[in-house]
Amino acid sequence: MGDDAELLQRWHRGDKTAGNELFARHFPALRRFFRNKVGHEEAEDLIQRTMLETVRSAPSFRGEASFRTFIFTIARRELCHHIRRKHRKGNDADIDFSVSSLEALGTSPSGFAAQKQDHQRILAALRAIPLDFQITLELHYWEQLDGKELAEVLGIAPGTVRSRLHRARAALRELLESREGAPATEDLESSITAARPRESSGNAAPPSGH
Amino acid sequence: MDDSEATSASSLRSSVLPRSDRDGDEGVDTQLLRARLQERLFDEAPAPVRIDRFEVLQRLGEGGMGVVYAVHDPRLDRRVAVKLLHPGADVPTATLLGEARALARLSHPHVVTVYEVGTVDDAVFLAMEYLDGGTLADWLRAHPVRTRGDVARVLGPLLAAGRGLAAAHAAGLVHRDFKPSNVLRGLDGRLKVADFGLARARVGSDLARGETTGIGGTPAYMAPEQFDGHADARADQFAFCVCAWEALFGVRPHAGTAVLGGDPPVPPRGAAPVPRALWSALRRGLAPRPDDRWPSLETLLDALQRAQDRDRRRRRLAITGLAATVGLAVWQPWRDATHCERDPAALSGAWDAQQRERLDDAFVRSQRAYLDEARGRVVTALDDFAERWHAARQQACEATRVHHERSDAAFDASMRCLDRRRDALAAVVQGVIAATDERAAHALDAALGLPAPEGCHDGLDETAQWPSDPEQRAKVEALARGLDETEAAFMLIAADDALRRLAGVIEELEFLQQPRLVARAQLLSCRFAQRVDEIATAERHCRAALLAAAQAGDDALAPSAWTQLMRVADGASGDEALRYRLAAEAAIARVGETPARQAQLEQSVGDVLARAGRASEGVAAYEQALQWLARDGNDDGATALSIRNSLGAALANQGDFAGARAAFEDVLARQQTLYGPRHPEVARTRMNLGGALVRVGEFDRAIDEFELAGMDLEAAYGVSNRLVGDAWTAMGAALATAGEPEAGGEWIEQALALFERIGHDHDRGYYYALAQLGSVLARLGEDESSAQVHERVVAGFDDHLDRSLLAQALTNAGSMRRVLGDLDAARTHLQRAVEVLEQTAGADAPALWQPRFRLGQVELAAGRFVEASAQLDRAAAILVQHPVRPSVMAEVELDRAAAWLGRADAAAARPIAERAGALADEAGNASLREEIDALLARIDHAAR
Repeated sequence: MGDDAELLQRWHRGDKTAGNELFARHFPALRRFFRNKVGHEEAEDLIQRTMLETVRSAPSFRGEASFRTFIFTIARRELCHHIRRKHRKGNDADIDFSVSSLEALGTSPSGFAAQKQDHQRILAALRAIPLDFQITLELHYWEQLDGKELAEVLGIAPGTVRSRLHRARAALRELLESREGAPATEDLESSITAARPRESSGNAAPPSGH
Repeated sequence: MDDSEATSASSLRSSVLPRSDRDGDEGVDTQLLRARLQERLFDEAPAPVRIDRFEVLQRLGEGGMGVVYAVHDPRLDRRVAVKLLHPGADVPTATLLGEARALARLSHPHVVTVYEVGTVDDAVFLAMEYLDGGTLADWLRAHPVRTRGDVARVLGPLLAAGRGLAAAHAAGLVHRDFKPSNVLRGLDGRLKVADFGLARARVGSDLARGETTGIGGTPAYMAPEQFDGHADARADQFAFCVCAWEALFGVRPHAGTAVLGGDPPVPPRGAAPVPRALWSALRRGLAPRPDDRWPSLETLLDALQRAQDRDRRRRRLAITGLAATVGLAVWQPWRDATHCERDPAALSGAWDAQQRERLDDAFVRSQRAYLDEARGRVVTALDDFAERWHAARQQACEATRVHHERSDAAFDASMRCLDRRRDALAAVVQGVIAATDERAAHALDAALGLPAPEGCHDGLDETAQWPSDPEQRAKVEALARGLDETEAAFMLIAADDALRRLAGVIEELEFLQQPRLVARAQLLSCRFAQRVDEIATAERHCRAALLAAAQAGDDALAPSAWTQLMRVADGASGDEALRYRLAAEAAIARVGETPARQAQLEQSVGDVLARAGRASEGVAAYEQALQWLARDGNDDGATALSIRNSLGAALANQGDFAGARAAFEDVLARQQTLYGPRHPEVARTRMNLGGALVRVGEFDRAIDEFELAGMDLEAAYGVSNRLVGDAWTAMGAALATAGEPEAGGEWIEQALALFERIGHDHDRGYYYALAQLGSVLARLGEDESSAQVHERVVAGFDDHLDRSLLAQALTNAGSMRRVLGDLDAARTHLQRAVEVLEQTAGADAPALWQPRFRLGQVELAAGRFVEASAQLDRAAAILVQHPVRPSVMAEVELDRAAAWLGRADAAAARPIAERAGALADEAGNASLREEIDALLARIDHAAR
């Protein structure tokens, strides 16, 4: 079927089969991206927006960065827009995502009752640290984005990624300790990796059959 | 966890989707999400997502145990609900499966039926009956307990749910999460307990989830021991008692206090009059220690049932007047308050045995069948009010004499207020007894609309502003009482009389310098004047009411006064009236927003908009009003029904006749229950329904409704009543539309004779009948008479407030003049119709298509093709947005094509004519098609 960039350009020219193939490839990652952040209906909307925005901005995708970076950048932007829109009512000052966590903003995830207790604990903690940190950790440990890619998605200088990761892990550790009242002795990195929502293990989940 | 068990049990595997997408409930959710997105993004028909053989239609929601989906069972071709349990992270699948099977074996009318149990991969699923009548929680919210009668009404469903739960206990099952939102209702109102918790070990984790996600709610129903992970049938008993307590008293038993080991709960102050035997039985079920509760849920339910039966017997005795003071102490729920016993004689003269007899007599003497049906309903409403009045009085007494929480002065104020409520009751009873045929129909509305005695608890003491001179004070008191009575009996007394009397009252009150009372009298006058359509007078009174209220510093009156002023404000477009809306909102904000006030405001806004022909905005306002009423738990009372009726009418004006029809059918069914089947209010709704039925082409059914309406109205009001005339007119018009113009004409002439007999100045019904006669004459080919009749209608509606009536009349008159060839007269009429509509409904009002179409035809006949095409283009543009029947649209396009051909622009004319042809074909109209083909030939000729 060709690579992502080619599929994107074909979809942009109106080839829906190509679009569908592209969607099938990246749906699992997008689902994972939104799942620990917003509710079911919201996730549906946001994935749709992300896909549409992706095809709309196809001309600006030059293949310099990876397509995954491109789509996560858009997904992150859509998420932030969405949360700002939701909170505009109160006439608040703008939300600072390096400070506010989803938990503090009162956003609930799509439900993880099926996951192990231990994983639920980590997922809940991820929602309770600032959103920028949550995204950093989830993309790094769940989607294996490297430093350069993370910098792209988060819109920060490549040199600052390492310290961002460090601070994000520290925030998570501190939160777990304060919640559980004891120093966290566990290996945080493997805990985060293990808490990745189950199902559809690879990035290229097969499309639904018909 | 034990995987081998799970695998051996999962005999019914889905094979539709790849393995990697199917692990557990999230698998189904993910598949649904994927399918929906593929549909939305790529218009691709989604492959069905299945759980076992069931095709998932929709995700219904998620509970502690799993996710529930609405699914289609292809084997039995029916809709069922499937609950897919979260795969056993903490409990072996086999254990869950075993319990699910036990549940499936249980069969009880008040337990949701489980059809089938199985597994998909690791996950257990249960296929159950699909219920979509909401939950017991919704129902309880809509039925708050205020009176004795309410207690019985709420206890019934609670006991039913309790029996279901007890049946589960008998089968060895424990629910573990019983709460009102887990009791489902079928559309027939039957209640079934659902969402049984399976496997003990889940309980602890459910709680943890509730706490960490902040969902909460469930812990409020949990027995103390359940927090430690122990739950047997006695924990369910505890939860049941929390539900029942909450349903009866509006608060949870331990609201605000610690559940664990706290004091036994007592009913809150100001609670509904719940018999002691009932709540003390619940209290035992709420004991912190399981051993202190009832031995079983069954024994508790029996105790509740006995208490209820005893209570009912006692009430019957009390009502028949045999139980003067015997046993009444039982009615005092939580204090032995000898000082505050009920005084059965307190309402004598107002609503006692003698008045009851006189009221019965009046109903019988009227010999109106519908009143006979209404009698029981009115008596029940009055009894209910009396009951609430006694309770409020007793409560006011206890607050001061027993609890010592209110001052003697406050007590006196409450008592004076209650005395006034008693006078209001007396006035309504007397009003019903003395009502004319015309007003008697409102007996039930008046009884239900009595001012709430509960409001007296924090009632403001108006007497503080009364003069101190005893003689003057007595005068003011008498006048105030008169106002109370007039206000209460508003629906029952004739407006002319009332207005005359109120004029005198206002004069006296002004002399006595009582602006607060003046304001009330003025507002009442405003309402009476509006009722008889004296709009200018009404507006004057409303303005005076507002001034007097401001002078008195009376904020409480302002919301209704501004709202009322809005209703009677002049100005056809409604914009002027809507300016008062802000004032009404501000007035409401000052005294506090209540659903009732908001509903009243929105209803009035809706009426203003509907009157101005702004139907879709009206629809929105009525829907708002209904939402406010629903919030008040009041959405099937008389007010709500009247709003629904207006909503239906607005939908019809908007062109949504199917929606209007559905609304009217709904109102009709509810009104028959509320008022009785032959009540005039029901007949009015039949009229509305008939109108909608005509528009959807169901003439036979429409004629039936009109005929029934006419008969019932005649039976209720006698033959000399304008509503009867309206029914006959509608009947005639429907017959004529159905192809029987002669028969229709007879009914209409009969209606006109009726209106002429009773006098018809400015009567909408008379001119409406006349307009229908004009249409019938046109059908019969008597064009000149038809035109003249329509011109009489124009003159009649010239200064009517509803400008759309004038516009319609002008359009009719103009059309007939065109048919007669009098193009100048036709043009004059039609241009005026356009102006009137543009002024009132705006330059792009949908209704404009008709006069523009006719005007285009006039210009076409006059050979003024440029003007003709301009008008017809605009008519066609409107019809693109608001389509009407294809044959009518074909006619418009035909004329439009002819106009463009007249302008020698064959190229423009051709596509229009072709569209006309397609529309004519769609309508199956052969003769029109011939005309269009002829025009196409002319276009061909011109092009060559």
